Amino acid sequence: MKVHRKILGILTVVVIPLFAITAESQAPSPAVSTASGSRGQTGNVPSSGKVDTTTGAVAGRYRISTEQEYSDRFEEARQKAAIGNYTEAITGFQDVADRAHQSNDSDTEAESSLRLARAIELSGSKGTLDDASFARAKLAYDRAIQFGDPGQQASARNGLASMLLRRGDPAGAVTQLRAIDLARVDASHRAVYRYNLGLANEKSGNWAEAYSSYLGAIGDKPEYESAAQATFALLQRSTQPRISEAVQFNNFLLSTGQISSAGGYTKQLLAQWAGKPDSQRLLAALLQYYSVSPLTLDDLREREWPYLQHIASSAPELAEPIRDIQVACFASFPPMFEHYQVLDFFHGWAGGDWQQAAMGQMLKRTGDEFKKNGEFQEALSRYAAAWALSFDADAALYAASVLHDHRQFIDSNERLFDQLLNGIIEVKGMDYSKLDWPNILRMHTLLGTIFEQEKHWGSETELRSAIFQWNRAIYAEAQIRHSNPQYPPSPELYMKLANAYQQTGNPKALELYLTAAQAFADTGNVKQARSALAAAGSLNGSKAPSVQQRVDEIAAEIKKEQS
Amino acid sequence: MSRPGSNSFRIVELCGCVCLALLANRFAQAQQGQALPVGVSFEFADPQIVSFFDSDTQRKQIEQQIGAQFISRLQSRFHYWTFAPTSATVNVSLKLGLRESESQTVALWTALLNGSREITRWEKVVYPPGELIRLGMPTARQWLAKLPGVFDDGFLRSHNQEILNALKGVAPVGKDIILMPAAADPSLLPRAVLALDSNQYDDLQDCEFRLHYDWSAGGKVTIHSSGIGMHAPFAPATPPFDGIVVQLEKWQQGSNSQDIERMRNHLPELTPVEFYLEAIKGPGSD
Repeated sequence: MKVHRKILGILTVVVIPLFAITAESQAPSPAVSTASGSRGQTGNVPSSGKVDTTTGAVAGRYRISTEQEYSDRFEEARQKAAIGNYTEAITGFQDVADRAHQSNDSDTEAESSLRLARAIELSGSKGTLDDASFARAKLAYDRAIQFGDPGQQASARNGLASMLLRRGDPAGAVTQLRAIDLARVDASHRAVYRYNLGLANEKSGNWAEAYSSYLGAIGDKPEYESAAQATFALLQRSTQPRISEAVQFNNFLLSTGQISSAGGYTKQLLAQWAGKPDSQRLLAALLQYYSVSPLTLDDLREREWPYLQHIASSAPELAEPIRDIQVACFASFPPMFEHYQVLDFFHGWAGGDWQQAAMGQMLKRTGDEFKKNGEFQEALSRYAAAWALSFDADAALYAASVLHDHRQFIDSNERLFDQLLNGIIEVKGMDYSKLDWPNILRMHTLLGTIFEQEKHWGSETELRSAIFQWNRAIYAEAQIRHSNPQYPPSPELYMKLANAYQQTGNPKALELYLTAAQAFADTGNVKQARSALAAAGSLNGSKAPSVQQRVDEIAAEIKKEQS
Repeated sequence: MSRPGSNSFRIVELCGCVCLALLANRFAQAQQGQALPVGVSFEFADPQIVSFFDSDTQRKQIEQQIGAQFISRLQSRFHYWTFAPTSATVNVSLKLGLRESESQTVALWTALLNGSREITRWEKVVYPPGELIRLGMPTARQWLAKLPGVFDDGFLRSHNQEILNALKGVAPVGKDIILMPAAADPSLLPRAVLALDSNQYDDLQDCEFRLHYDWSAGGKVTIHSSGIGMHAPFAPATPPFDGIVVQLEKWQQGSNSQDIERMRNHLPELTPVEFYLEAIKGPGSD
């Protein structure tokens, strides 16, 4: 496009060197922006496609000399369209398109045809076009499709599809939108095309295709609110309850960070479908929202509880699960650590894995809130229940952390503490490969620290001892490393176990100090590496030549790192 | 702990300085058409963590490097504003820091400030209970490797909507607005051009904006407007650029809101103050 290319030609000289300097910046680059600008607007979507900036600029300068006579005309038409003087804009764009055709300037022909089509559309009174104007706009879009590059073609097809939709031809719109090669379009534009494809499919009666197109648009650009609104409206207007799709919609919004939208839409859909078969799945989706939303206990009590009471009154089958939510959020109950106990206590969520997982997450979340408020006993009860209900190792970890930080609870929760010590998750017969080893590792680390503070070093077979817990932690780390060799090593853990062995006169201390020193050196932690090496050196007894060699190697590595 | 003297630290330091220099350069080049800045600052803040650094100089260098990484991630996710190191001239800012709590749990917090007033705060666990006990305190290099990823995934992706909504509420995207000449067709709503370079912000051309004005008749006026998928020259900007065209729809003063047609004659009496992003929209077909 001549006018833009003229600017491009000037800017390229200035912009490319700057771009070269700031290429690593994540901000939109001037060079790309300029290229984008050279495509102009469709009025419908921002233009797309990629242009070789340098090539485009050279071509632009060439065209400046050959197409001067219509560049001003184009600019004038563009400004008329922006102001809203569409009649003059239409005349101008038509003129430019025709002249570009004569000059074999396909880029300009496509661009002005796109703008011509859009100006014709906008000139229609209240968005309606008479037959002649429709035919003229369609012709202009077809021309842009014929002569445009992939970006212009996509814009033209999208514009034409929108016009066909307004004209009551959703099938024609679907055809146009499906012809767009989405793989060649950036995410921002793809979201728009998918949204329009959703609309066209919805109007064509293709419910499933509409739904997946809308979800695709959300995935492409989560903050594009229209796509989420359209998905919600599609679900809401459905003649039958679409519980599983509504749950998927909720989860998808949560996964893309649209937490507030997820909560708002799920609450409305639950209100609409409460009492329908499977409506507890929507209630579980709502718990997932609660679990990640920034709601406080006061928010839950003041804003959410009245809503839940309303749902319970309209759907008796949800009354028990909702009563359980009230208990999880507001009631006081003792720590429970047996699965059967918690199933009985939260009976409304005992039925299946998905129910137990949803309530487990909610209990963990409310535990966090109680902990934040300094109500540690209540927090501990919820962490324990979450752990016992859904075998949530994250909850177990936080239960261990409460015990670690508030030792007085150990005496009053002796049985819980014993269960933690026994590594309850490991003895429940769960699938070994599905265990949450990172959290199990952290949990044993915390428990080991509890005994370390009591200077209860113990042994490898004594549950209630630092040595046992840290050995279990190192075992857990080995399990993690088995599936993920890149997992960060635990130098401090080796150091702690070495200290414990050293306290008990166990010769294994030497090996562990060296392992710790090596791990510290590998992570660039020179100070700690030196300290571990010094601890190894201070151990009594002679050292085998192989050990001395290893000490020297680590020392050399430390020196290298330092220099 | 990597020390200021080590090679690895020097490389990190050099990269950070280059990064900062580029950032400062980019910010210095901010010109008409670029969205307004939102300040970003990071400090380790927690005394326990601070005490592990060899010197204040080393800590501050790492803080600047991490801050630069945060800016880069923010710019990538929310390019509707220009994120830059916090300065005295920037009113809205994101302040970040670390907090160590029970069981050596370390959390990254982010506070959105309007002037000195905290608007909202988010927090994300960086190291869960037990993690630092097994790892030991991270080195400068490890913080630099860890925190930007946590910020991107734990905040910007997971709380995308909350952060965007909070920014939309307090952080203007631009200041200058030019009223366009009236169209020949009197039924068309009045239009204005926003000082946002359409080359850089073309995905905002269908969005909704709140335009804030001072009214010569007294008081402040908010005009609700929508992009119409067009851009037009923002005159007399130097260098010239195309701004985003919006149509003006509602005139609001206090709680009173009315259609713009009724106040059309008063539009020339308005002096633009700033404008805000209201809703991110794409072109609909309905």
